[in-house]
Amino acid sequence: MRIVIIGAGNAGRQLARRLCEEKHSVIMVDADADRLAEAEAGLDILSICGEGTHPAVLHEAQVEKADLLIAVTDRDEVNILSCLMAHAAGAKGKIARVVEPAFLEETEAYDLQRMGIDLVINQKQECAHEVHNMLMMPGAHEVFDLFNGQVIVAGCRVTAVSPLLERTPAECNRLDLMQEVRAIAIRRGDELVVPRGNTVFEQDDLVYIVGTHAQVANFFTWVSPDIKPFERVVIGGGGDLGLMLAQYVEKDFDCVLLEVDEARALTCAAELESTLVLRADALTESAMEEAGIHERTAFIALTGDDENNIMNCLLAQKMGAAFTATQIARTDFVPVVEQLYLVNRVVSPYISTTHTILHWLRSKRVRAAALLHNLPGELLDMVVAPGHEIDGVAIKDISLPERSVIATVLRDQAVHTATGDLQLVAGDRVLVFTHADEVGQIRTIFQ
Amino acid sequence: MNRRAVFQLVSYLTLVIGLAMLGCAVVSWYYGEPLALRLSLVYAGALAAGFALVLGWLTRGPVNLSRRDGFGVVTFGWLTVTVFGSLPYLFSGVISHPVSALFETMSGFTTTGASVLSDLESIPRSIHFWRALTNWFGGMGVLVLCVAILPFLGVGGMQIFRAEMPGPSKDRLTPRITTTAKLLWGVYLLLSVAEALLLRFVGGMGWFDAVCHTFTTMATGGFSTRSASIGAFDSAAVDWIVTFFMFLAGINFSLHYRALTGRPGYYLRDAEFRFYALLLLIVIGVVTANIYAAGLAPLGDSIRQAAFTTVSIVTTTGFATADFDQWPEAVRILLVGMMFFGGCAGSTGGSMKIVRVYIIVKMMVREIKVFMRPSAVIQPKLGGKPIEPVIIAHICAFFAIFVLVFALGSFIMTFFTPNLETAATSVIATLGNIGPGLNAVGATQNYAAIPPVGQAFLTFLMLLGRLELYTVLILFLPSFWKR
Repeated sequence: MRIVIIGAGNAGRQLARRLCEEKHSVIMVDADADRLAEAEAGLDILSICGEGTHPAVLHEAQVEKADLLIAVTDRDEVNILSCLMAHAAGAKGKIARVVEPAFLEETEAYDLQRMGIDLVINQKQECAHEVHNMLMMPGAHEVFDLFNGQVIVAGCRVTAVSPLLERTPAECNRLDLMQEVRAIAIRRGDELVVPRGNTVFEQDDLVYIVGTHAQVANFFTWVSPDIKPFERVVIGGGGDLGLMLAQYVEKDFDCVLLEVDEARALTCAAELESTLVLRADALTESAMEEAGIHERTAFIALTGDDENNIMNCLLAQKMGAAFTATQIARTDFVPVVEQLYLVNRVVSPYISTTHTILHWLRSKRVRAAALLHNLPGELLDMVVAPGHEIDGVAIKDISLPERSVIATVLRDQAVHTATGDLQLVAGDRVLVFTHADEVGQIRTIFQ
Repeated sequence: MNRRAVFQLVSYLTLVIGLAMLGCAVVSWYYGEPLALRLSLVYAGALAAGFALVLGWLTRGPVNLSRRDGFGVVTFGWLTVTVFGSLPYLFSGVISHPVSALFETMSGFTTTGASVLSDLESIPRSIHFWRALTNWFGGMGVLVLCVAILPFLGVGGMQIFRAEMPGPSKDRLTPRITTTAKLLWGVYLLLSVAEALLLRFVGGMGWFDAVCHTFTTMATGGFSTRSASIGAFDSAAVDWIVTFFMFLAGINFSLHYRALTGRPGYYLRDAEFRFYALLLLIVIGVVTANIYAAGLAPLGDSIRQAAFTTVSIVTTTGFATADFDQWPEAVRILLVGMMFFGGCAGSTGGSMKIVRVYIIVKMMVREIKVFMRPSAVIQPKLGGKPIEPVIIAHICAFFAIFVLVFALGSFIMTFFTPNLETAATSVIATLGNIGPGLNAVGATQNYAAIPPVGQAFLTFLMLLGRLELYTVLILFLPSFWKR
């Protein structure tokens, strides 16, 4: 595909890197020549220096021939205008990043999607959503939801004390829990393994399981009994992201927000319902004490400063927090922070944006699909057509390719576990996990 | 430097060269040459291919190149192919001294066209074909070919492209470097086919001569199958066809691509092209006037010879139809001056490149103006766009190094050549990848009389010139070798 990216900032570069790896043709536009040169030095892209809203620049980037235009500058107006101009020029897909929530209010007449922007991303909202998923499933690696939250996909690390260790799925002592969910993929080192009945779980495997929220939660309480659900969430920093996260989590947890600036703290208090807002510097021990950190607390550091965030998390750990996560804006820091095990999880709005866009890109092929981070696997959403040869066939009788597995079946808005005996009927939405090489084969089976 | 990845790429390069030599053996078989000659080509090809396979197997694994590795690949790649490329000359006994064989091969790959062979008519056709082929591969760059073919290079491809393609800034035709490399080779191939057909059917050459001369014209190389070069055909049609294609080969190939895709207006919009065309017209006029006034030829022939020789020298091809060493002194020094100019950036021509000269001229004018009005703010522009200060600094340094190497080289060459004229022009003729110089290395002479040490030095200069100084010179920085 021919993809034009407007904006060579963090998100733009992240995206360009991933898209280059997938052999797309990437053209990057930015007004800042130095930033552009820096991006071009490490990436196989064509760079064009100029404002992403000027017709001459867009013409030079041959936007009219582009399959996709992604506008991720740090100015909402520029992003929206670029997309609108690309729409007028005839670019096929348009994605805009928009930070200001006011743009996203769904008024019929001003709906951005009606103006031709296919996907509007609120970077902070995506990130808050991701963190919320993470908090709802303690102990899980990488959680995301599909079908409006009906289905959860979560990664589970096989530790030395895990009941899964050195066992095949059938040998597990809680077969009832194991059968409720489906293990769809295992990340072993850097490799993707699709589990079969005789696959043995090894230590440090990352097992991806699919199920409803309750099923996956039950699975995790069995696999890691010592990790209890969080009771309290303490958020350090009441910026846009912190406020948004508090809005997401205050229904489910006892939420505390720390914000040092008085005016901002007041704004937050006005916006929030049940959250306790403290006007205090999160870097002080007294503030942490006041927030009441205990062994079932998750601490999320979301001030704008990476170094402060990391220190904040360390402080919270010392105070006894069970789980810490920090926002890291500088993508160079991410591997270091992860490697040193300084915090339990790194949150990065740029990475969230990249994931959302890649998810969307993949779903161009089949309805609503998703992908697992850095693994060559895809989740495809297939619909069983009436009268098709698989209509009425039991799952065990469908001959799927070797590295594909049916994850779950959605029938009449209810989730059914994809056991071998389940018969597919017309209208079922079937979620299939498959290796990237086998996507074509899966499509021929279902269509 | 990531040695494993660097040498893996070198192995692919060597494989291409090995296969090309085996192709020459097929040519030898087609013309019914002696078995011993054919075997020498097969041995050379098999040796290169075998070496490539072993090296490729030893260094197998994923390739991930940094900027530094890109330079390593290019320099080591060029050295390796030169060593293996010299084997056909040695095995067939056409050249007996190894240094001379290396000189001839390097002269081929760098599209210099300087030769140590004197009686070209006595040399077998397959060896001629190999010489012409080395020119053709070196013209667009055998590594650029690898970037076009190998699917896995990704960002690494760009590092190689940057190190091998001439010119101060590399313009991409497409977002992906692999596609750009493919398109450039496609244009190169297309122009080559067009020239070969014209030479065969309009110029009346035989197929063999037409193909060999096409290879060496499009690459601005200058190897010929005849001792008297293009002059041996004594045909106005051939002269004009070759002149035209030398002119085309000296133009930025991305302009050709745009013209071929229906946008010929880009030629005239390009400042470098305008400067190039204007410069050629002026020099052709001066040279014509000079040789006509000296009574060396009638007006028609004067124009033909002047146009051919000027284009041949400025594009750094080095073909000859007349012995310009016999022309008036004014023309001789003018032509030597032209040797510093070279083709446009992104062409197959060598030397300093038109765009660099153009920018330096602009900078000189600017400095003079500023000297008069110290508070004047003057932004030098290229094609309407301001030139970045980094590029200007880069070009000034390039110019300084080029002149310094020329001066130092001339001093060294005085020890190996009979006079100053020969010494100085042998250096610029090899550093600029032109081929013929003046006096003892003039258009009708060759480099055989220079002792091996001198030849080895000139061989180094050819590589230095083709890879535009920096790529080779960074190997002399100790920090390049450290991790």
